[in-house]
Amino acid sequence: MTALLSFQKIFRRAGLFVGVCILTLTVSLPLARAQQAASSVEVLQVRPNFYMIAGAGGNIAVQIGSDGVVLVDAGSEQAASKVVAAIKRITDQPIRYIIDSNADADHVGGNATVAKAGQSIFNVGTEPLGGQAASDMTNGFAATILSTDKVLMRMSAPTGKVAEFPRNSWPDEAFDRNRKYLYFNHEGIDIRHQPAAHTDGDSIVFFRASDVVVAGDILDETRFPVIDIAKGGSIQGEIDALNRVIELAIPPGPFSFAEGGTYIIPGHGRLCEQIDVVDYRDMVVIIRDIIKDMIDSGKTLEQVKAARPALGWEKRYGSTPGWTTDNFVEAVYKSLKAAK
Amino acid sequence: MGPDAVLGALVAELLLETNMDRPQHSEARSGSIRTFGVACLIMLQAVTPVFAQIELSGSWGARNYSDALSNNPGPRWLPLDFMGLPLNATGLWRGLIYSPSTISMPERICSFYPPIYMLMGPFGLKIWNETEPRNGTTIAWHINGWEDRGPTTIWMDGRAHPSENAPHGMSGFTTGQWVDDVLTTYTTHMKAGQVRKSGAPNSDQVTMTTRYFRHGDILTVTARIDDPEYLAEPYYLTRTFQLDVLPAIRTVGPPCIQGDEGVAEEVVPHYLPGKNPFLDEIMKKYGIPPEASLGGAETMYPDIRKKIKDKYKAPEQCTYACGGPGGFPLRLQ
Repeated sequence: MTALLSFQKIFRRAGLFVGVCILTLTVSLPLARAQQAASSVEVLQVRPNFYMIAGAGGNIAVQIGSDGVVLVDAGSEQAASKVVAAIKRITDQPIRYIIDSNADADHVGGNATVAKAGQSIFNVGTEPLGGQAASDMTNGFAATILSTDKVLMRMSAPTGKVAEFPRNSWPDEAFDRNRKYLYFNHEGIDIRHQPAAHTDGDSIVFFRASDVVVAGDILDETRFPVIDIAKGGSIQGEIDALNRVIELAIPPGPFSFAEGGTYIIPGHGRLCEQIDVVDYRDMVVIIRDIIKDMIDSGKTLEQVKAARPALGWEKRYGSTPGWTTDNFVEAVYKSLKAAK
Repeated sequence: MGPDAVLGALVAELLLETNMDRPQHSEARSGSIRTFGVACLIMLQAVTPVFAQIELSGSWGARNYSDALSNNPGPRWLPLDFMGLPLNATGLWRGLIYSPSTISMPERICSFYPPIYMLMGPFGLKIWNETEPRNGTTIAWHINGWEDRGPTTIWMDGRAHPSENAPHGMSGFTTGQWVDDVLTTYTTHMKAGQVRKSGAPNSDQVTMTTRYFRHGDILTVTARIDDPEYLAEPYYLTRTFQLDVLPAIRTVGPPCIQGDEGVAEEVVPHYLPGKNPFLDEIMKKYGIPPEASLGGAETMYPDIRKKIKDKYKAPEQCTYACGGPGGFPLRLQ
């Protein structure tokens, strides 16, 4: 009996050993070709105080400091609780601001949940400042949601109409000028309205000390730029906005062999540097020029589509469901025709 | 705890417990356990990086014998010279709209090339290793950067490549392992650029598998380039280097000062489809028809000669970049 138990013991250990061997083999594969994201929401550190959250709808920028947390965009409604959890894992500072780069659901759908998880700057201690009036102004002392007035108008609705988003997700600090700025966490945050790019309400957000530009859907590394003509977007406005991003960013130099320079967080896809935006801008300009030349020679939309003016980038950017190459070509065509 | 440490701890624990139990068991059983452990070790070694089998450190001077003829002493590439390059239809389309003025754009003057340039360019290599301070194993091999190419770090510690959301750098991201005596590396996260200076594109999805063979003082480097966007088949490049004592190659290149090369900001030089003025340039200079000069996978193989034999007409006199040293023309006899 003792011998039998010992035999089982040996084989149990051997079994354990086999299991661990297999496990070790798996984790030690020397050329693992891609890091698997631990969950659907991935947090990338951009600077010591700056992060990008991917996989929650649109990309989210996270600036952290002693004043609290500033976000650019809140992601989708479905991912909002994961976003809040991800932020809590990297800081215990309260979320103070959400800056909406546009009014699309994958960027603002999480506004209400994420703002509620934060705390307005009018509620800095045990006692809220400003009483009921401040509470009413700040969605009950939630984090402030800041955007262009165009975003507010698209998310809300006139009295008697049904709004696209619930009231507690609307921006409570909207601006109608070309520029808005904050000085938060010891750095200037420069918010620049781009009046007719992806839509008419886009903002580029430039964090001066962190040297990070958040481009929103003006730059989309997963597809051709979505030019939403019905919401005020245009091809020329898109190119102008990309040029503004390029202008704000600085590449490595004179030590050009170094990495880095200004980082640019796109609306979707990987973290970028200036030259990546230049590549994207050049693509958009070239496709615009090809389509314009065809319009000038009298081609119809169907003829333009058939000529495949974006062929060089179709595989890279043209296969995203909901925004195909044809969608993009049609938007450029209509935008150019409307500008004539 | 890394995989080697996990294995070591397990083997130690298993052998210790087996020894403690030994009086109660047959030698054969504990022997089979040890045999099993050794077998597992061998299996693990087969897939775990083996560190620093061959010394690669030193200054390796360029010997531009092959696949480096686009630089001195060979000719410069002519526009639309894509011969031997397995471009797919999309890659050719991009190549045909490319304007050489692109590199004079203010934003591109100092942007230069992806790591593929190690095999495209004319420069030598400075290679050194970075060691773990306590056990001396090689954590990484470093290859110098230059003005027009980022430095390469080859991580040998088994780390994973970054996620798809990580930035793509001028150097890409490279991991390596020894396969016999050949350092074999894999590079991802490269920037979009050119796989050949004649305007043939590479996408940011390109990957490169590179092998470093050392034979005495000669280092042969081969690279397999895979680009799902623009290449129909893998593209291979080879270069040779020779160990030099003098001059020592610097670890970084000279700085790049952005000048004005005549292209205004926000201007994007390019040709419209079908309107590239250099389409027959190779035909005019060398009599080589577009079927060969515009590349494609079949232009990598000898049978392309049969396809173009009736269209190829050697010029009476070669006048440009005929293969002589320094790009001087060689006259036909």
